[in-house]
Amino acid sequence: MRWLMRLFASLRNASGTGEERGNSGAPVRGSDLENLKRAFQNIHDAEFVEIENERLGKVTLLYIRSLIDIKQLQEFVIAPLQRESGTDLRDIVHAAHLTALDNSEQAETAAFKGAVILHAGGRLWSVSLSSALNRAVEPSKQEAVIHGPQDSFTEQVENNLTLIRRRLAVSSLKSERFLVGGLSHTTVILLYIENLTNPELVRIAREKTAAVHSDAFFDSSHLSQFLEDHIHSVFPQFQQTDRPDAVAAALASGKVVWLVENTPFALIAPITFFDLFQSPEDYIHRWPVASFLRGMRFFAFLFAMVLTPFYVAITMHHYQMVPLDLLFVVLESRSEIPFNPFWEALFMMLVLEILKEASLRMPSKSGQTLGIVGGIVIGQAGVEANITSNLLIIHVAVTAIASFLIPNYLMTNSSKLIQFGLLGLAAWLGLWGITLGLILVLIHLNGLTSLKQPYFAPLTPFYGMDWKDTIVRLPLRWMPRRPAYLKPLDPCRMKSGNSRPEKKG
Amino acid sequence: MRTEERGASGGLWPASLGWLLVNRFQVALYVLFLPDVLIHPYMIWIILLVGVLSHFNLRILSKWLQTEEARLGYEGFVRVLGGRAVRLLAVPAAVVILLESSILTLDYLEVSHHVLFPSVSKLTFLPLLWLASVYLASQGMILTGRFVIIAFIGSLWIMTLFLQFLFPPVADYAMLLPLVPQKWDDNIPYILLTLWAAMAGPQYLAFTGSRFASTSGMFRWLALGNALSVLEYVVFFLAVTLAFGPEYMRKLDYPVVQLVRYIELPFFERLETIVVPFHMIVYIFLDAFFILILRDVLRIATGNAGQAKGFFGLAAVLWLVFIYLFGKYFWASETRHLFWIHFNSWLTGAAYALVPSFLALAALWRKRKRKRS
Amino acid sequence: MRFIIALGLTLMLAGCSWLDPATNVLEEISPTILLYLDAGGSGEETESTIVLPAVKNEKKQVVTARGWSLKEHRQKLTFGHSREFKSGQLRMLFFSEELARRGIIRHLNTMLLDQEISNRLYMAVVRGDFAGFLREQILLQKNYDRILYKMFRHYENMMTVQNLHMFLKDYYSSYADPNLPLFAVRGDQLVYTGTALFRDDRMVADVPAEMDCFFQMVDSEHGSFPAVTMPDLEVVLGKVTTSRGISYDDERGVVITLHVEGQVDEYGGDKNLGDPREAEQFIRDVKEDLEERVRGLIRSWQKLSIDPARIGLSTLTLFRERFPGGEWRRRWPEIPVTVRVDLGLTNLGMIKPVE
Repeated sequence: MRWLMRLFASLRNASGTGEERGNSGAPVRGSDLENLKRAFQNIHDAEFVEIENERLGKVTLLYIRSLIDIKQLQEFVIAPLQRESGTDLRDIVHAAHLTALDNSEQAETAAFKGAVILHAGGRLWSVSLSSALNRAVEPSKQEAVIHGPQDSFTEQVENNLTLIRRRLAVSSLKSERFLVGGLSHTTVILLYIENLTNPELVRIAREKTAAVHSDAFFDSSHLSQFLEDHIHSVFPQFQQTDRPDAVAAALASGKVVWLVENTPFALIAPITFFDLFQSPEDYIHRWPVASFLRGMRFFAFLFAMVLTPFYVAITMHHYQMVPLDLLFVVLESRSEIPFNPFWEALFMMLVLEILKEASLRMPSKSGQTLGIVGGIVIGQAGVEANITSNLLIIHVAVTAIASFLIPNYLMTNSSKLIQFGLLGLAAWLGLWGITLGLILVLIHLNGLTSLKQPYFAPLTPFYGMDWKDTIVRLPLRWMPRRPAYLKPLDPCRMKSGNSRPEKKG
Repeated sequence: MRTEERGASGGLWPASLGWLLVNRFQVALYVLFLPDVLIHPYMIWIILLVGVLSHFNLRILSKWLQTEEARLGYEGFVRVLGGRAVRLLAVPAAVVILLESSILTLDYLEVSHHVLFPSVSKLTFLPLLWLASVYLASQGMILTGRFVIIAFIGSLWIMTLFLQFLFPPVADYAMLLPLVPQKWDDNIPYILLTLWAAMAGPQYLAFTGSRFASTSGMFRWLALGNALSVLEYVVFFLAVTLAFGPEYMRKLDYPVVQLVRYIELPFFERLETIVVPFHMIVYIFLDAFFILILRDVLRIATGNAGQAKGFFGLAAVLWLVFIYLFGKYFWASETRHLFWIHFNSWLTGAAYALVPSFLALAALWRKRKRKRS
Repeated sequence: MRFIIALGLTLMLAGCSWLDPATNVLEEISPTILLYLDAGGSGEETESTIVLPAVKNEKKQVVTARGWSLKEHRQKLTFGHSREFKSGQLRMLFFSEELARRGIIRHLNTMLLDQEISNRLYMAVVRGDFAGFLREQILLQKNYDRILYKMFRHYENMMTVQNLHMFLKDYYSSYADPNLPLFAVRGDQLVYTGTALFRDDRMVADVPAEMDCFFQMVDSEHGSFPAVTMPDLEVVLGKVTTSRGISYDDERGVVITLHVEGQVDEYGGDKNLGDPREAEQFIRDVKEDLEERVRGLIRSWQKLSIDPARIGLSTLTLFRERFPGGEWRRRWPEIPVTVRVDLGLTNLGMIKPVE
């Protein structure tokens, strides 16, 4: 196989296309201002303002109007330049973010990040005056909780950072900024708590982020696909959340978080399979209730994956397992259906998927009506026309509802896919096939990693203490240590100096 | 392989993994079949006796695992036995591994075939089982070893189903009498051998020394696994004897599987359709383990012992082809297959008895030799 | 890439027997739940009758076939019907008395060998023309086979209910003999008429209906009976719970102790149960009557040299088997049996019977 690849590569090199591509590289060096003016050609909202200052001379302002706040520009830059006078720009413009720049490339990048570029005295300066166009902090639509903090992230990465810093008010919360994407120059902030998070994790996170080479990222999930270890798996290896309390909890446990500009969803890693079933509400409910709900989620996941294949396996291969009364019910309901249980189940599941997808894209006004039409009428009509049996409709409907119990949205659709696979195996080899399918999924999970850490911890490798917060949620007082699979530098959560009253006067 | 690195990130095996490994190795074959020699209630003492003997054997095994040579893997074997000897032993080792895993797997497939799908040939199940095993094995030995935790949980619950047969009103304790007979069965040596072979399996851990992060206190874990296996055998044996009675039990092929068919839960009957497939997880784990050992043996035999990659595909395909042909031509009728089970008893019994002692003695001799020089 | 090769190899090898040739798809089979075996015409032949499950608008049918083997019957019956008969859901097996007296182990072995049939197969012996009776009943009640099954499930404690597992366990044990419930067809009813007693696999005797509850008392460790009729003493004991203890020693032989507790439900005799002395006398009479009945039962078994109550198990001790290897069967007829009943009757009655 490999020799074939090498042959193609050598053919490509020989054709000389590489040479031509190499030639268009290096820019012509001219003066910085001229470079900038050339770069900003054909951008109608790029503006150049020249101001004469008494001592500084001509000061040229370059900015992209749609990215900056005009009022602040007027107040903090243009007005002082017109009024005051001084030899150094720093004496005149009293803005907080005034930085000197080295070359025109930096100036270009900064200008597109909402800075105003000043050319004064032969040097380039930038002042960050981003426009305040942003969304207000609203409750999360994806992970709504009834009790608990209602704020969620917005598309502005600095606002998101504010929400997190308010929750983890320590200097050990470090934030490293990266710019990824050749075209989008998306700001990505890597967050971790020093002296807590295992430095190995931070190192891997940093390396992976720096190695990302694509051109545009519009969402954190695009970024995650370049950061993850296993691109072909149906299981997500990063958790995406827009809740700052979830992010803060993750950081406090020893995980690493990425905040990505222009999307409210932050990435959390490393995660395990069991993290996908946790919801922030678990820590708000009483612990027996929370344990029950969590256990139910696992059960619902398994149930949703296995119910329809189980039904198909039993009606196709293992009729002897059916209890007697149910046997006659099933016989009656299946007697006039022209299809195999397998085709019938497949057909119904596909119809359900179509309904689900369609309801996502329907305009909201017609969504509800069509949902009712689809669900009730089609189902009922199908049963009466003997295309499908009512037992199967019940199974498929219960499965659909049960699959939404999983807090992680991406997993809902993953479990659907696994269900289709199990359906095929059930039709071929009955319960033996379903078990084989489940074992294949387990083997897959066994070998999966998230940020190079085992995905199926704390099951394999086994960390006994971590089970206090996996399937059950034991009282917070009984969890003095952070999750062991993250190998935190400081494993104890509960220390005596953690709370103290504020001294008055 | 790149997956070998993946496993290393979660760390090498902790010594405590030893008990799961020992337990699943020991319980693999005979739980479903319960050796047909266990025909009297007093055989329970023989099970306990063999458990104790196995306990001592595991002490020897743990002594080997704690030496420096065991922790070095191939290098260690070369130091203890000499490079040429290791290479020479590789070929019979490959044959033993192939035979043992064939017999093990084909036996399980026989049960699957017999109980679940009498009209589907076992050779249809085999490639699927192989696919799962190869998938697991492709993740490397460290991840495969970790999978034993899942295999354990996936098959341990079966024992809980049998507990209902140990208590009245289903159990008639009079069936167990006499427990301490005046006249024992004639075949005691053969019975001991079969039960010893049933407890065999941990000897393969001798070749995985390099995967353990630390082997201090290893014996504790091996002994725990052994004790759990003995407990499982005793529970299954008691449940079957109480449920069937000693005479009826003798007539049945697979008493444990027949008993599973009798269990009735509120919504489920005929549980054998769930229990027998779930047992597959143990066999997938064992087969993956054997394929990986076969890969190492092939590397040694062809002189490429130092390589970190390669030979996996060859081991996997060789394994499949061997079992497929074995199953097709040597496993046709029941009498043939009984012969292979007895053959397996001798084979594994001998391996379990000899391998740990041989290696421990060789290491000891080498240590003495080094002390002298 | 490697994955594709592996998958391809798998499918190629597995594909040689791709689909299960025996189809078990539920709508293409007729799972029968009842099988009735009768002695057929000559020699070893048997006749089997099954009830076909019917769906929606089909008529329920009862069909019979004759031949040497059960599977032969199956084949004869199957071809000609659109849905194949499958025995995986077989729940009840009835034998005719004639066949039971001839020996049934061969058929039980067939049931055992068939992996699809569960071991919880209820068995019974029927006296009379059960096939004809079934044909009539099916026309009147479409679900008659399910009704029979429900009957077995409901009355597990009150009448003898045996399944394949328990029968074979007793059959193979050298200290017990199997038994099966006995029904009789009387007109248009199926009536429970006691228990059929077997020696090995042949029916040799039966316990009639009036003595049946006494048989149950000796047979089960703990029994409970809603009513025990004793017509000689004109009393019906109600809500009776019994427990038995059997011990054996070398001098006295078998000693059976029955603890019986109950209350008086109906009394038609002369005694005044309110008076303590008469009540004592009454209780003693009942006790002696019980002992006599049970002794009579056991003596009849000893004559036939059968042991349906598993009395032989009491001869085993921790250290030895007193009668190893089938010797119990030979010694049992001569062993002295003592029966002792401990009777506790409460609630003897508050209303004195009218003179």
